[in-house]
Amino acid sequence: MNYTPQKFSINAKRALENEKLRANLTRAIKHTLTKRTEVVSELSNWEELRQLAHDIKKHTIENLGYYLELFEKRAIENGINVLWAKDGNEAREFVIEIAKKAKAKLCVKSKSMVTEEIGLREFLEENGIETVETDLGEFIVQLANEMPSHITAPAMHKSRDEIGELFAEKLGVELTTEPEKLTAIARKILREKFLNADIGISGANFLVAETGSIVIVENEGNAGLTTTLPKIHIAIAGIEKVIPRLVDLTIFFKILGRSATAQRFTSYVSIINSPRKNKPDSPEEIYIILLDNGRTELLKSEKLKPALYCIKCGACMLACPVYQRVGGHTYGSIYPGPIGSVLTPTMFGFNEAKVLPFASSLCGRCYEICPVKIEIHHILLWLRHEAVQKNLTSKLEKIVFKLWTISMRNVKLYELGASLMRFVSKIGLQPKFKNWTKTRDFPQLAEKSFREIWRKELKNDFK
Amino acid sequence: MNSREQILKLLKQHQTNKTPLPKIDTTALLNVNLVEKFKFEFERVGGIFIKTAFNRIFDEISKIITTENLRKIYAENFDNEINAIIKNLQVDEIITQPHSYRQISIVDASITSCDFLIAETGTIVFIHRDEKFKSAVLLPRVHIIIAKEKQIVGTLEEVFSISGGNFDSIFLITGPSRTADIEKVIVQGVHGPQKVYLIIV
Ligand code: SF4
Repeated sequence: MNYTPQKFSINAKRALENEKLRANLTRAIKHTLTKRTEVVSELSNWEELRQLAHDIKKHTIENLGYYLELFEKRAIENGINVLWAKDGNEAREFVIEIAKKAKAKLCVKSKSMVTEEIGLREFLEENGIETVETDLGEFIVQLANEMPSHITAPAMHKSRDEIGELFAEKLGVELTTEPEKLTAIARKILREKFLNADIGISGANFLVAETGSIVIVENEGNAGLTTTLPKIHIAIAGIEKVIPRLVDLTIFFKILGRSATAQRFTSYVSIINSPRKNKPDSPEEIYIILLDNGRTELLKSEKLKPALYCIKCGACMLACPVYQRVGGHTYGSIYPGPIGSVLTPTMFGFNEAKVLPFASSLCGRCYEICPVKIEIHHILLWLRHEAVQKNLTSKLEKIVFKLWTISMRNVKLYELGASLMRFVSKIGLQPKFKNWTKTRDFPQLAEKSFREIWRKELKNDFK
Repeated sequence: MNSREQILKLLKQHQTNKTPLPKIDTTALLNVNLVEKFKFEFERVGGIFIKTAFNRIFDEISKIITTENLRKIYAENFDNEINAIIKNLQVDEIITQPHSYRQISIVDASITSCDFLIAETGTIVFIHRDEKFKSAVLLPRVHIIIAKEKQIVGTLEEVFSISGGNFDSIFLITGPSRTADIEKVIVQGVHGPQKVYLIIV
């Protein structure tokens, strides 16, 4: 299905009517949030850790040029090839060039949001290079020809029954709905791919400036294999992924695992410094592509800058009352949920995604759960303001709010307006703001206004 | 101007340098029995912890061979004493000098050493600087690690301060390979080992 941010409200309606989807979502979200609370509450210094992580990110983003150059210098000293791409197109060209030079036929991929962002897998496949997602969740959505619905749990919108049927249909295996058996099937198929792959493509959770290290965090072991077996490893990372020191990792590991998958520590961490020539099983060539693709746009605005602190844990999505009900696909972006509603319009085109900042209750739960303390709800509010400034809201809405502003400034006018409204609704002539009332009820005015009650009934009591 | 220069120029224009880089206090695990703490955390993530005397290593591995029904094994090169123990294990085949990772992918289990054990999180640390097969810790269904008690440290900070930046790569393993991608049901052994045994001497 073709999802775009413009269609948010249509998608949302469809998602809300899909009972199966809602059941799948509720189960997965509840489970993770409960576990998360458990593993977060056992740390007495959680708030300190959040602040530390926030400050490290803030410092780094303020000095991003410096740290990227330092990273580049160290990585080159370690024998890694560093490439800079201003957009997805340039990044894809880099990859295809490397692949063609190596006459690559098969690429294995570990989970990476940035490669989703630039449509790398599709691009390689169009160019005749088989490219396989090896993370189980990503493998499932690749088979189903769908987008991931969450950034760390891509297949959370699917039930075991749906996955079982999918495997039977697409892989020709016997129908089973047991997670163990399904996993074993995927292991077997993907193991073959690993052993024969020419190139391993990964993202990066962190880039360490002082050592030039590429750091990847995961649970399945697929990123470990992706970066170990093939002779060429290409890592792609957004420029905001750099952190100053190796020791900073100790802070981020504590908060990332807990926030992303409710784990105290993820099963596997790869910290990669250099290729190994003539060694039995390590890449002989490593490339890191540093991708801008709209990130410097965020950096230009003091308001948006903090969005670059995001470590893509996905917690704000699970905590968001809107996401909880409509799921990730509804947003029409690979970055769904609260932070997605910030990143999508600002990185990929304001006009197309201007509705996303409005798809929020601004309750602030995203901020409360965010391990790097991004005030997402404030940014969303500011983006709404921008949308209005940029004339991206409807004329009618503008007129209504204009009238509202005038009447709020003048008591007489306000009272007149209110009694008019009260009269209109009493005789059953509710205003028909279709776009408004489609998704919410028109607010009922109280029979008497507070001013009236005060004047007639309360005033004397307070004398 | 190429992309590198373009990006860097823009970043430098917006460099502000207002927030200092926070200091990170090294947290040592105080008043904690490191072995006990490691055991607790390692078992909590699904690892199997075996503490034993040197002369019992053979028996312990043999027990694992029976429970896990292991036929083919890859074993790393240890010191002579442990090499001798491994050589006598009752299995169909013991590979010690594989020519490629393909050979390791068909064994049932690997026996390797490690560099450190981190008590705080139950993590096993592998630092690669030499000829070792990196994938031996990932490919087989069962992974058996032989380590010494004195390899246990408190925290990851300690590992970093010892290793510095001088390594090809570091691999951290905390429990078996796992996924929760299908209905949040935890399944072990997705791409890496299903069972991780640690024999500590
Ligand atoms: S904004 Fe915060 S909570 Fe949301 S994905 Fe990023 S780091 Fe996680």
